Amino acid sequence: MDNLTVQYLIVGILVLAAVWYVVRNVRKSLKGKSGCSKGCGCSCGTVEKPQKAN
Amino acid sequence: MNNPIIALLGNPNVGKTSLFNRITKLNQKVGNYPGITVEKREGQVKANNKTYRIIDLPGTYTLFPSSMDEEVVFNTLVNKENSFRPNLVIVVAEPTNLKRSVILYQQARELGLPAIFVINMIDEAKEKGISIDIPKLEQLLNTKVYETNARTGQGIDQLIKNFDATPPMYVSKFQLPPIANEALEETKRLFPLDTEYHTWQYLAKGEVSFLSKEKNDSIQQIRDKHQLKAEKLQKEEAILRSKSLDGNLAEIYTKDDASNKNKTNAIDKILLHPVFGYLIFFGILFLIFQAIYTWSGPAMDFIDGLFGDLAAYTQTTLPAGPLTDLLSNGIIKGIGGIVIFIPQIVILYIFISIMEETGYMSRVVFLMDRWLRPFGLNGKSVIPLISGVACAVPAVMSARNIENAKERLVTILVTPFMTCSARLPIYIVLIGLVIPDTKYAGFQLQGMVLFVMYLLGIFAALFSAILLTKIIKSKHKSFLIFELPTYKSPDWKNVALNVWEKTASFVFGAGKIILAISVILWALGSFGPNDKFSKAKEYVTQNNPNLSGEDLDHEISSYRLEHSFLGYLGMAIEPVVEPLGYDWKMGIGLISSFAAREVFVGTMATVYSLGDEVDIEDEATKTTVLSKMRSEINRNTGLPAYNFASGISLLLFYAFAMQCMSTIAAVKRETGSWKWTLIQVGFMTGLAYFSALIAYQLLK
Repeated sequence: MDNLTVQYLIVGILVLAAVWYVVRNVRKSLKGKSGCSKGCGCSCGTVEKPQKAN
Repeated sequence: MNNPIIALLGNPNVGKTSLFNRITKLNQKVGNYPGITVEKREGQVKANNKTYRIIDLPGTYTLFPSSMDEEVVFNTLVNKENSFRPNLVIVVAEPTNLKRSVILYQQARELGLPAIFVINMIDEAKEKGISIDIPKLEQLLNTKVYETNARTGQGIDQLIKNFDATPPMYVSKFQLPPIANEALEETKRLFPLDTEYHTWQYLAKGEVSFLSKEKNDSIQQIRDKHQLKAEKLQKEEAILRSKSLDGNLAEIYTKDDASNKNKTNAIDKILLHPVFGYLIFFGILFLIFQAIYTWSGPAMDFIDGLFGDLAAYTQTTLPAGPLTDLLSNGIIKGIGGIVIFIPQIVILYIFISIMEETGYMSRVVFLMDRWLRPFGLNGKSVIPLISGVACAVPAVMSARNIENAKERLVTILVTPFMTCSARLPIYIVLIGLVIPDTKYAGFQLQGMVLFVMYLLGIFAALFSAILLTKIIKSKHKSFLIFELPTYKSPDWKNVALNVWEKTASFVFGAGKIILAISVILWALGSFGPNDKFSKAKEYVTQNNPNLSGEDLDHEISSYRLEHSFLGYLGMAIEPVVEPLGYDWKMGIGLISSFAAREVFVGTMATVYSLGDEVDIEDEATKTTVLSKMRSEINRNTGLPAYNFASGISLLLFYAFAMQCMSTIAAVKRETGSWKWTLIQVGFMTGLAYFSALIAYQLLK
């Protein structure tokens, strides 16, 4: 494999990693997995796994 | 117990965070409580052969919350299963308002939590002619009382040495409101908790977030049966506690009335004056705005130059190829695009921190609240809105100061409407192209149009705030009830720490998404789907045999851009932007502006074969760019591409569109949610599109 091909491979991996990162972040938030937020305005007084008392 | 948890509890403005910083000596981290983005400050201190975990709880006046921050305090102290429930509570007070802190202390003790009492800012007691009988106070509270001054470190070591000194058992003399006696007995049968007050908290809270819906419904049924409302129970408790303490505290706490005429009152006569107060405030705002815009200039130029040189060095040192190109034009420039905001963020937060530390921020809130509340905003919203005229990134971050979740969200969502400095090069170009260089009613017409653009941003922000206020639900009502703290000189350690935290949060939080999008945009502009891209040099040289040197290079760059994925995207979206009066070249400008608005000018220069290193504020360059753009013909209409209608359309598009990915990343970071970020992008883009469409169709 020549030098140029290796470079293209590395570039491809980096670009795909960037795309994967952006898509993952968007999907996580749209599924609500990032949790209720400080600015969301909804009822967000709970911790992620609500601990039931008695 | 090897890592006991100690929580600092107290009203706002008692110096809790300063105390926390002193105790932990900056050995701390700032994160979020799980599932929410209320800041959680946790630190450690090693003493007495142990490592203590210190948690700085959000400031609260009472254990019955009226905001999300206060909910965290309630959940931490009342929920016995909470992993952060402390082994010891340090109730922090300040000398001028002992009663409120004593009430908080009583509530914590009656929950069964061991607690000690700390009077911080003890230097102010003498200054204000306040005298506190410490032994009598210790007798009343049945605990040790410590005096500290977090600014100087006085009393801190003694406090730490006594972390393990268990306070004596607390027997409350307070009688809960008799109107709820029967309801309380029924609730006790449902929840056999260890203290009566613990059960009272469940009854008087309203909805207890860590209980199941069934349990909450059962408690509500008890209240309904006895015709009780949660708010009324809370009020009854507050009134009874306050009355019961009046007699006790009269023997403990005395104040020299002559000290009322003190520094703070004298300064407030000026800073809260109905006329001078506002003049001074706007003067300070102007200074902040100028500082962000102007003082950061040399630092930003330096960073820009540094990363430009680094990119150039990478290109010349490493062997030519796609990886070198990605490193220099994608990654280094992407990181540069993040780092370049640091001077603005640092400057803004120095000012905000000083305003908070000195106590002036509370006065700002008081002054501005009445003008912003009709729009669903908060007095503290004025800082982000005004800062947004310089740059939306630090402005969005500064909305953290707003406690009410809904008002904070609305502020974050509308701040990007304010005309930021990145829009300025675009306005300069477009106004220069389509607005005649004449006078109207004695005023420069082009200058007036620029002023109108700024006004448009303000109106869009306020109008959107009204709209969002009706749409977004809020669990907590917002009332302006707060105290004006005494003025004090800033604690510079706190200022430095706050600036560091905010800067790091942007660079490592928002920075990742900005870098990822920079890489993607680089890839779209650096590769093309066919021969026309890869053999651009041959095509251009063949078709332009008279071109050479720099002109040839610029023409090749323009041709490559046209036939890159980005160029094809521009042509693909042309049908969408055509009704707005744009062609594919303007389409490329719109897409690349997504990286940063000011990229539009560089992109246009590349597309029009001028090379991308243009300084639009340089008259010679500006003239060249303008004359080139003026001569461009829209291939769809056959008319000049930049005419009055398309120019106004573009102006409106850039006024309203959410195009800066750094701001998008900052909004995402501050809201913790892509949902609201995407709603914001969608709404702003939609508004931009339709206003540009209407303008073009009416004016063409």
